Amino acid sequence: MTNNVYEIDLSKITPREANESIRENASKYDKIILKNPHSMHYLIAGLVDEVDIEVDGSAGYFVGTMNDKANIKVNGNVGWFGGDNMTGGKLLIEGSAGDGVGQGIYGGEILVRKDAGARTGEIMKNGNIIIGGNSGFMTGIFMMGGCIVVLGNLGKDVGESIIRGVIYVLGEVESLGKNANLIDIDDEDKKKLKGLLSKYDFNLSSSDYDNFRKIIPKSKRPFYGK
Amino acid sequence: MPYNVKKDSFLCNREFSRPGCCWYKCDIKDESICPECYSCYNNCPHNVYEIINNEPYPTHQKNCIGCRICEEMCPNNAINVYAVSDDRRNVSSYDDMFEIKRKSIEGSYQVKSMGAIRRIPTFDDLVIIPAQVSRPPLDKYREPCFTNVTLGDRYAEHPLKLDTPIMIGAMSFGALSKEAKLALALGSTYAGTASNTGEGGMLKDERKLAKKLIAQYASGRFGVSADYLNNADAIEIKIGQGAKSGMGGHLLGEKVNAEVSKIRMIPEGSDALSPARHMDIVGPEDLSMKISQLREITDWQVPIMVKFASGRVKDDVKIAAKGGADIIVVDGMQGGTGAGPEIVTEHSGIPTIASIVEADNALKELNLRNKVSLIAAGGIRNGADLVKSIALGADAVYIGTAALIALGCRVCQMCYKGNCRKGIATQDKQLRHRLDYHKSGEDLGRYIKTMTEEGCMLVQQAGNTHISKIEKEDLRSLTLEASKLTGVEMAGF
Ligand SMILES: Cc1cc2nc3c(=O)[nH]c(=O)nc-3n(C[C@H](O)[C@H](O)[C@H](O)COP(=O)(O)O)c2cc1C
Ligand code: SF4
Ligand code: SF4
Repeated sequence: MTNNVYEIDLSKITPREANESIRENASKYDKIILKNPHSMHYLIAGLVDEVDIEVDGSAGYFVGTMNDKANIKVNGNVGWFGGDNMTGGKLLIEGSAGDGVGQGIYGGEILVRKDAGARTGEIMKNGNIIIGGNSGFMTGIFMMGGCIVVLGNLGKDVGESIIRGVIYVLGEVESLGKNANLIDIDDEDKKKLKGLLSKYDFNLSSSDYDNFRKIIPKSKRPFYGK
Repeated sequence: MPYNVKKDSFLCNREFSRPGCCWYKCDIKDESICPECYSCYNNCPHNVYEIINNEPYPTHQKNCIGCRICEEMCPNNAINVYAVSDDRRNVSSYDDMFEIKRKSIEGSYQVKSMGAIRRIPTFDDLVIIPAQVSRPPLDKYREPCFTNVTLGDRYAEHPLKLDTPIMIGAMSFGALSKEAKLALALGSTYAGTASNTGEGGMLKDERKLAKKLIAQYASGRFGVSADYLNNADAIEIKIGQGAKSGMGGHLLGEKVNAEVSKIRMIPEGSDALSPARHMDIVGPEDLSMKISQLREITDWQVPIMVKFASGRVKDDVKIAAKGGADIIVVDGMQGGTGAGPEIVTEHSGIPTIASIVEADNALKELNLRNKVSLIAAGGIRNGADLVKSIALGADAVYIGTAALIALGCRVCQMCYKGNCRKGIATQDKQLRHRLDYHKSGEDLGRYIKTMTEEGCMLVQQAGNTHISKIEKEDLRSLTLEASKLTGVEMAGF
């Protein structure tokens, strides 16, 4: 069973039926293509199998929530909370994402080719989120670990109450949230950024890499202890 | 309430040659240190004792909160703790003055564990009326009483089927020791009921020992993954808990050791601070979407529950029920906690008895009373509280503090310090060693079974054969306050 592909037409089925079919076929096929998604919510929810999935269009809220090993590619845009609570795997979004993309992820990687809404990566604990365009207000709010990279600009109150993790930004930062500190990057950071970004052909020159800055917590324990 | 701690010096010094004589059998069994047992001094969680001339004395009596841990642990029975009657100086009582002065010196609010302790209307204000000839009573010794309940069969393929309507409430690993979590799991299995992970992830052994285990999904999402949810028999979305309504759970870095960090999936030593609200649930529509999301992740197999602190109960319950919840939990203001600000615990929320009635009415108004199950929590201790909860409208109850007491807890209100003398609310290896989870699990199972039997007795003498059959009409109120809060008729009217 190599390189066999299974197609599911979502136009006439419910999210429950869609997810049941995805779950049932994930272990049997190498790749699943979801046709006519019409921005369906909760697509590919709680999948723990390793499989390639292509969403041929746009997805609604919570696409790929709690994904653990699957490689998901969405050809269009996604609604709020894309890749919510992922523990592994990948979510590649060719278009834009709504608010809260990568909320609470523990692992895995999320790429948003264009812009993301507000509160990207809120309460994330680990993993990587890469935004090709801008990311809205409160990006990285309550962040507890992991890494966000934004190639465009960041909105207001970036890194609000961040206690661990890092947010890299190439563009402008409108304002910083409580406990957030904006500093220059060093060679280690550049190496890390190159490793993360080179696989996604963003056409960044080496001087672009010099222009990144990073947002980190001022204190690891801003509320309690030292 | 103030306490008077009396220590008899003669008894204290009578014998010190029995290593392992105190109930927890000494942490370090060394005969040479026996004369310095200082059990009261070492174990009082509130620093009441001081060592003077090599002997402990209860010099700081104002600190005493009456847990009687010193009394229980003294190997020589040298200590007696007495409650003394309330200070009647009303608003300028000694307690008030003490607290004002403390704040003026320390500049900090008080943190405390467990539930509200001030006087509020409770289950004790209600009685169950016996059946006579208008309705005949049933014979406890010769006739059966059924106690099984099915919860959450609205949409879930596999609802919770329990032998008793008494369940163990959410108490997290992290706030509690592994041994305590395993004892709760074991106890729930012995009694044929369900236990709950709390908001700190699921221990492998806890899953093994609990026949039915509810996975909590709280705002910090600690330890949450697809496997975590799919390993559970129900999912509980925690919106709030009665003891600290409107506040998220906080586990300080000091308690996040290697094992807690592994289960919560966060770095060792980092504070696990749950936001006050779920970042993605800020309105009615969001809750409905959250329920659907969790249903999709768990393939509609298990019930989705929503737990609320009791505030605007009617509105909240209606939102959850309309949003598709299978089970709703209301936790009254007496409900316990691992840690919370005293001012919030004592002054926020409404009593459990009022909350149950409001929730039941809300479901009836939506015509969903038979579809959505209702669980009551907060201050439930015995078969009478259980039966009164059911009569007021609940289908089942959660016990938190009472379950811990069955394991040995003395409600010293200091769980948040992480050095629980009973090995329950601690991660300290030596203290954890004091809790034998096999034995305490059995104790808990026995307690729940006995409480269920008490409930049966009350239900049978009221003329019913099933514990779920008791109704509000079978209750009378002894106080105007409780009657007004619950709509239960005053006795004698
Ligand atoms: C030590 C302790 C830890 C608790 N942890 C949680 C928790 O993680 N999540 C939660 O929803 N409630 C938590 N609670 C509240 C209980 O689930 C339950 O609602 C409450 O204890 C019921 O009231 P009772 O203690 O009077 O029985 C905790 C309570 C205690 C005593
Ligand atoms: S152990 Fe408890 S009862 Fe004894 S003195 Fe301390 S607070 Fe009071
Ligand atoms: S669990 Fe331990 S620390 Fe908490 S109240 Fe009970 S005895 Fe005290």
